[in-house]
Amino acid sequence: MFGRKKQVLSREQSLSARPVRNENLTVSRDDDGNVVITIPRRKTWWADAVARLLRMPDKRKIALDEVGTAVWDQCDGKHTVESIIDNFVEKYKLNRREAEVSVFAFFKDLTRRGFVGLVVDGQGNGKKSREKRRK
Amino acid sequence: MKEEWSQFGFHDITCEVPADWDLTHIEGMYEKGYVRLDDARSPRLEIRWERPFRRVSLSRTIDKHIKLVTKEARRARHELRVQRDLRLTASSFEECESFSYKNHVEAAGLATRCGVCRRVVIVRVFAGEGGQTLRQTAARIFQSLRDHSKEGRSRWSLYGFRFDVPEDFRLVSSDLKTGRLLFDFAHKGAQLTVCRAGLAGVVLKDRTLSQWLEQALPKFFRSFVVEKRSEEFRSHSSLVFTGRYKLRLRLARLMIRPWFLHCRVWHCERSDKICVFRVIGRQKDKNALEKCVDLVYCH
Repeated sequence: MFGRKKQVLSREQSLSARPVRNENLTVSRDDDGNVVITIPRRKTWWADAVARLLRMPDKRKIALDEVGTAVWDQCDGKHTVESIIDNFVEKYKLNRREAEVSVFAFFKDLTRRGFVGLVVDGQGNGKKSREKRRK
Repeated sequence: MKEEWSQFGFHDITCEVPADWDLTHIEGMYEKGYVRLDDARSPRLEIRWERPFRRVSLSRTIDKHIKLVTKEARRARHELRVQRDLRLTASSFEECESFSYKNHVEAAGLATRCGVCRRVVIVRVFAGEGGQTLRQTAARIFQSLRDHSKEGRSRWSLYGFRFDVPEDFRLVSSDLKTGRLLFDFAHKGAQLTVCRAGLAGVVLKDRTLSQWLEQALPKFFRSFVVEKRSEEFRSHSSLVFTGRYKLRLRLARLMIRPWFLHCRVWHCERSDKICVFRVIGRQKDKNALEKCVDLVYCH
């Protein structure tokens, strides 16, 4: 009800932010070496009831493609978003703007799902300013 | 650090811009429109064009523009300094006048009128960080500015994709998505489509070029009966599709002259892109239109 106000990062902050993977996720690789993220179903009484009714599985898998895997592998807390974009441009010979839009859209999705958090230096004594942890 | 420059071209308006400036905003069509190019941090170039019904005075056009800028500066409580006639010119225009102003940003501008296409173009270059001074950058952009076709061809150049189309063809629609740029042109019923898709190495890992085309552009050959063949094109492997319009009614077949479809799709490994060129036109223009594929530059 009184959720935390979402922080809006400036462009410079977004580019210098360092993405970090959520360590609570179960991550595996498929035969092609692409990342597969396994997410357990929410364990609440109503979710259990709905799952039983609709015969939903206990886990859900999200598979990243080659491009997503390449970006995911760089979410180690050491690479900045800008360096990930630079690597993206070099590897896939994309225009800078195209690469930026793609990478930002991907991170927006990953952070929304709680797979990745962004470490923004200079906020909250250099600690992680916003990170979702999936239970 | 030496700055690299590339060409920008849109609706017959071409100029040289620093290579790290990219198109971020487009509006309008040939008669009236607007584009903006940004660098990594801020807007750097705005081009606005219009073909007025009657002759307008460039001075009055600039006056109107400065009035708007003054209003904005007053609202934001910024001090504004305006200078006219900076002797920054563009040699290829019937008439041109330059100006500059400084509030919270510094900008140099140029208004031009072309005797050939009758369009009035206003260009504004904004100062950025580092690199060349605003005056040097603006001078180079203004000097390279053109607003009509050359040698019967219109140059289009954006996001590193460069191609020419015959000057009679006008842009009907465009679809600019990340990883895929598609442009549709038309002239007297003939259609010309140019498309470039990125990440070719990734998308072609588990499918053929033909399968990709079917998935990416599913209605591309609608209403046509096509035949496919493989061919080498500029040392790239390519597919060529040729077809004729489906005419179900015998009477229609007699009344309507046959139209042709010619499409070439190729994978450029050097730029890691897939390029598509399609033309639909009358048989009498077949040779000329098919040769337009040579005007699409994949790298």
